[in-house]
Amino acid sequence: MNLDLQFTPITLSDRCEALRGEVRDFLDEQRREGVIPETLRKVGMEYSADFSRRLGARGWLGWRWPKAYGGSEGTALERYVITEELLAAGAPVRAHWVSDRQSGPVLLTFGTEDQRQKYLPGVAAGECFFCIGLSEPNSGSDLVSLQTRAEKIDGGYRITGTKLWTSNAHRAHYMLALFRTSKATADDRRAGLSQFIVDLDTPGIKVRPVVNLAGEHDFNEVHFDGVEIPDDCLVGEAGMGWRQVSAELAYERSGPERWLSTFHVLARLVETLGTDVSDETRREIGELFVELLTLRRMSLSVAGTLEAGQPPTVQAAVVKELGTRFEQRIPRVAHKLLCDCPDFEDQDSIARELLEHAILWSPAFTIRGGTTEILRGIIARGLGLR
Amino acid sequence: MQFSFTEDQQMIRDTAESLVARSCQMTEVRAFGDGQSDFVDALWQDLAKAGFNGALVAESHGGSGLGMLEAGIALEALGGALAPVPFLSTTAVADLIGRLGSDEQKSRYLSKIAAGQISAAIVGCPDPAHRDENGALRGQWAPVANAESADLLLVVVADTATGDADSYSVNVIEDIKDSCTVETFDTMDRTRRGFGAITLTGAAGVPLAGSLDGDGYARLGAILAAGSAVEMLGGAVQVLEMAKTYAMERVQFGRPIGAFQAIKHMLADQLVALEGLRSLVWAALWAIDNAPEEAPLAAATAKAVADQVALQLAGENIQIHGGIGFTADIDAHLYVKRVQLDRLVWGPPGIHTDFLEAHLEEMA
Repeated sequence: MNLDLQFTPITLSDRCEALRGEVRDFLDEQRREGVIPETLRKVGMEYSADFSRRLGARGWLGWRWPKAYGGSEGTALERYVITEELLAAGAPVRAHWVSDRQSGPVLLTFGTEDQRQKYLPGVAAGECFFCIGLSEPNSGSDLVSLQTRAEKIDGGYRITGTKLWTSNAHRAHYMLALFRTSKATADDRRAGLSQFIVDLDTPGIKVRPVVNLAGEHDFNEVHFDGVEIPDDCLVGEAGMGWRQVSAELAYERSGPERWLSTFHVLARLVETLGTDVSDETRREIGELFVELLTLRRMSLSVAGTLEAGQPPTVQAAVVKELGTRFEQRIPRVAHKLLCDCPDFEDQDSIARELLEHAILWSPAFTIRGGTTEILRGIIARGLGLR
Repeated sequence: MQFSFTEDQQMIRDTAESLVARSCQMTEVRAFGDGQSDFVDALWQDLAKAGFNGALVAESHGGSGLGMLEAGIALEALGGALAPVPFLSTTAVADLIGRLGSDEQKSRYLSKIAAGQISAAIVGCPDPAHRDENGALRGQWAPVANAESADLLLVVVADTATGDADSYSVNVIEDIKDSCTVETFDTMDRTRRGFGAITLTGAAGVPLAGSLDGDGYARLGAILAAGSAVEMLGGAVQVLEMAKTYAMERVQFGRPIGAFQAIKHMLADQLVALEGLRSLVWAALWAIDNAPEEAPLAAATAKAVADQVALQLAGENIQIHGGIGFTADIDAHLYVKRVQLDRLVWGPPGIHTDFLEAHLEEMA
């Protein structure tokens, strides 16, 4: 058996813990100013361009990037601490999250110097937002089969096709997209894909809202009807897009947001139940915390792997697989324990609102960012099984 | 011994299925979710005309004089179609009035129920109302199905005055808004409206002539539990079909996703669970009609399993659909949200598993 999988234990440095204190102080300040709500009624990240800008101004976006691009040249573990604190506080990080987590790192690794200079400082300042252009109506789990084509024209490319599930395409400035620039070959269906930066103000782009089952507008369908973009939008090498996206997907799956989405439901549950609870309730809560702490340790290890400069492909898949099912377990257990709680009807409506929102969103955790089934395939491959 | 529907029951099934196909279409259900409810009255009338509203009403009062099994056939079809009608509440109430009502009470209500002229809500089972030290009726329940629109509210009251732990009277309240506080609220289930929190404010309504003993109370509980379970079965059948169809149509990696073992096994496991539920549900409904002493255990089991299986299938239907399952563009979300309510309306899931635990302890 080929076990190339390690979750090296991580101890956070004093510098990390000091940084944690600074972030907490900043968050308290934002709460006092009403930029972060005191009470959370929803799971997931809220969108606030204002908050993203404030965070950028503090220097906590683009943390690992060279200072020349607006970064702070910090470590992956420090970045882990920053993001963990933001998520635990329910800070509205949606606007910049994807740009900071994956779009920026892709440009840093594969972009030209001009591209780095043009986009990274804005992302680090929390003022320039990217969205992800990967999935299509006929290409979900089978991303490689995507059909939106970027046809070479004089001075640029012409884009025709449709992207789907593009969260925040209606609010972002740019899309980091994967298009097909040449035909796949018989023995390599991954060949012929290329990454591009698309300015969402370009004429010919139509963004159509896709409402989710919680009645919210987050997803979009983006149509490209012969949209022309200049040559300097190509990121990295033409035809090598898949390799770049693979790295990007590892970043996408690597963070604590893959197991912290329903953390506030757990915190609220413990508060609501109080201390006078049955042994069985104690046991159920205890089990949830054991899982939480274990996932945290694994997530830290993944950050350690990022620090070592390696894409944590299999490790991130394991943490996301466990983490997203854990995210679903919390509202299930909370619902059960609160239903059996005799005063549930008297419980504050915020707890119920939060729980209901978590129940509505639960199905998404094991679908978005790579379904559980796909992740298991990646893990199986990591075991040498495919 | 026959473990399948009789010819008559099969005919009733065909009637129910074509009725919902005609009178409760998905386009209307979706429009209902957006606030349009024009089709609901027509559906209720169609059900009455076909004899379903009077399933548990004697023929002498304009009903069909059938049993809970036949009512269950209608409930399965209604659950599968996500129908927004208070069929179970009204059926349970019809049964109580038929068994406990005086001639006058029966005449007053039963033919109207059978004719689809009135609908009902019921509280107190589980969790009966009680009398406080001044004899005033007290009780609080949520969510109550059909709280907003019911013409009749039946309240099951524990008769502690008689000293008998197993004696209940059943009060009928016609002027609901005057006798209790009804606070309606929206739920995540957009396929039904009018759920509410009901709080008794002391006024009693009029008791039915007869009272319920322990067996009678248990029968009512079984009707509600099994009735809810068969509705959930109807929904579960639909979502499995939806998931299977999608798995056969959606092509990724050059083949239908149903060709992959992960999906295959998920669907196979769903079918196994569904068939288990199906057997439990029909056994419970049959027991209510034919073996009443077995009905409470059978119904609690059916509901406990329905609470689990219906949620599993509705949730996995979304998973199998992937991203689109998480949108309002397909119907999968409607089924999941309905199941979440179904798990609560006749008592939270813990009630049924507690009953089973208590039964197991008794057996030990």
